[in-house]
Amino acid sequence: MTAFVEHSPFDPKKAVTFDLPNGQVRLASGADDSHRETDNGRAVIVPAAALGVLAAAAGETASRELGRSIGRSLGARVHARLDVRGGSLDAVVTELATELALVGLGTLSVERWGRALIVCVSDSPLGGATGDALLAAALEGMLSSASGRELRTTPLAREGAQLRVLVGNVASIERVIGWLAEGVSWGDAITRLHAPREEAVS
Amino acid sequence: MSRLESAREQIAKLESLLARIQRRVAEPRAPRTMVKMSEARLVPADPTPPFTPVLNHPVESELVAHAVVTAPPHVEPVLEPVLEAAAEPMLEAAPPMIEEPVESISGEFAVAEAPMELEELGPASEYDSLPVVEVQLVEHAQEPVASLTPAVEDGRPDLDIVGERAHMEHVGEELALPQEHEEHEEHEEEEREQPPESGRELVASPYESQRVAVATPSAPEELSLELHEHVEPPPESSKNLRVAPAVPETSAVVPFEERLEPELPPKLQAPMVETPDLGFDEERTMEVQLDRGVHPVEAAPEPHEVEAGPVSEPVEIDRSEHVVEPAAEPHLVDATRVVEAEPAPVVQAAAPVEIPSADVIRPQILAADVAAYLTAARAPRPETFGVLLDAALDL
Repeated sequence: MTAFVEHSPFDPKKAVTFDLPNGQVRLASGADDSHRETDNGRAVIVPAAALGVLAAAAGETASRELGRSIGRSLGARVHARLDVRGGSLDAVVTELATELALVGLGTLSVERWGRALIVCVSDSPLGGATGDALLAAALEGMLSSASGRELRTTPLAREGAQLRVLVGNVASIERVIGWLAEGVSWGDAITRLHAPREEAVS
Repeated sequence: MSRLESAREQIAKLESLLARIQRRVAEPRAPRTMVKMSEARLVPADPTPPFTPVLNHPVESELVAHAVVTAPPHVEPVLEPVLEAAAEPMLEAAPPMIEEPVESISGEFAVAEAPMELEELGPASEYDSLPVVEVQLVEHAQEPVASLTPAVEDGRPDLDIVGERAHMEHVGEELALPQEHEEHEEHEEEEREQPPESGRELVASPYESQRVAVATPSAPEELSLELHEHVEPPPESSKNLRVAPAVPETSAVVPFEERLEPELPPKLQAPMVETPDLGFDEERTMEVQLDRGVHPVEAAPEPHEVEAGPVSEPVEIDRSEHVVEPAAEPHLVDATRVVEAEPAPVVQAAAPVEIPSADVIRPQILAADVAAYLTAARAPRPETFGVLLDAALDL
């Protein structure tokens, strides 16, 4: 029997602080402000379309770096409130979805396909390949910062407003990216991912 | 002269009355009044079953022995049917075979001016002044007591006097009867002064032979009391059926504690054995059996396992059979020794208390429990996010 670690529930009252006299907007870093970043949680409200234009102009690699940076800050706040590795799936997903929704990047959910972990983001303001790459990079940074594990993510498929992002190690993500480039559907890619390594290579 | 005439008139009346009595008595039917008398006197008002006249037998025997019959000769032919009628009530109790052996009957016949029925009799003052003729008959106890047996199936002799007549003898043969009326009156007075005999007395009016006003027994209550006193105990067979022993045979009762100890199987006593340092033959083996399955178990591989505390489950040790081969290693044999050499008194004290029954130990697995277990097993485990993440990263 696994014991779940209790966590401090998210308090939306002080999640965002608007310091209008000082022209500052701050994001709460967690239950306590021990993990407050060097910028003291200051945030900038940027239009989603402008962010998309930036990501498209910067390219995929720059967009991914931007996304990881955004995700780390979100994951850090989750880590401040919750033991992600010891927490239940529901609790962790709830905290992650809260942080992602707080910054306006969409609604987060998690799917399990076999042993594969897939994070679904719906209603994200970012679109396109660069936008999906940015969003997947944000999730990567968030999960990595929250769990403390080095991981990789890659967009599997977009179905309307819902984007499925696969979470795995570097090798697995590289293989899936290759299968997807070969025209393999994301379902078959996940199936192959569960197959033995030799069969998957062949 | 007038006295003589009056005496003759009375004699004539008596003769006519006697003639009428003869005619009435000659009729075969049983008198109604006698039946009533029997129901009222001789038969208990509320006989408790099984009531039988058998109980009267000893008393009647005594009465026969002391019977005395005296009767004037002029009423002799009248009294015989009267006696038959008097015997009828006894047939009520054991009909139709029993005839009451009349021991003593004394009748007083009130001579009335005109014959009248018993119901028509007026107050006592009307006929008390009439002359009274006393008639007494004595029956000799000629019949042996054994022949007077009840017709009851209780092992006692039956009262079979059917067809027999009580032999009546006149007083003239044994006792001197008064030959004259005056002497008869004197004798009557003497009889009144003396208490009646134990026998029954029949006081019958001379004018009504069949509807005789029969006097009740001199002491009916005493008679019934004597009957109870002479009641013989029922036979053993009936006694057993009717009367249960009030107290059970205490000799067969064994205290609860005494019964428990012998019933304790030795197999329950063995598990409580501690492991003192004892020595015995290495070849001796033991068989340890569990109550659930009675599986022979080898000796404990290690001595410390045998020494571990009281056994929670009943263990049966068969000391007679050598089922388990002696262990090859010396320490295994030592383990067997420890169990075998346990003193019995210690085991008996703790066995009934500490060793639970097999039913208590055996878990009760219900279908609902099994279903719940399978459902929980099939349900996804409550994995943490870290576990899920690690699994995903291991792909």
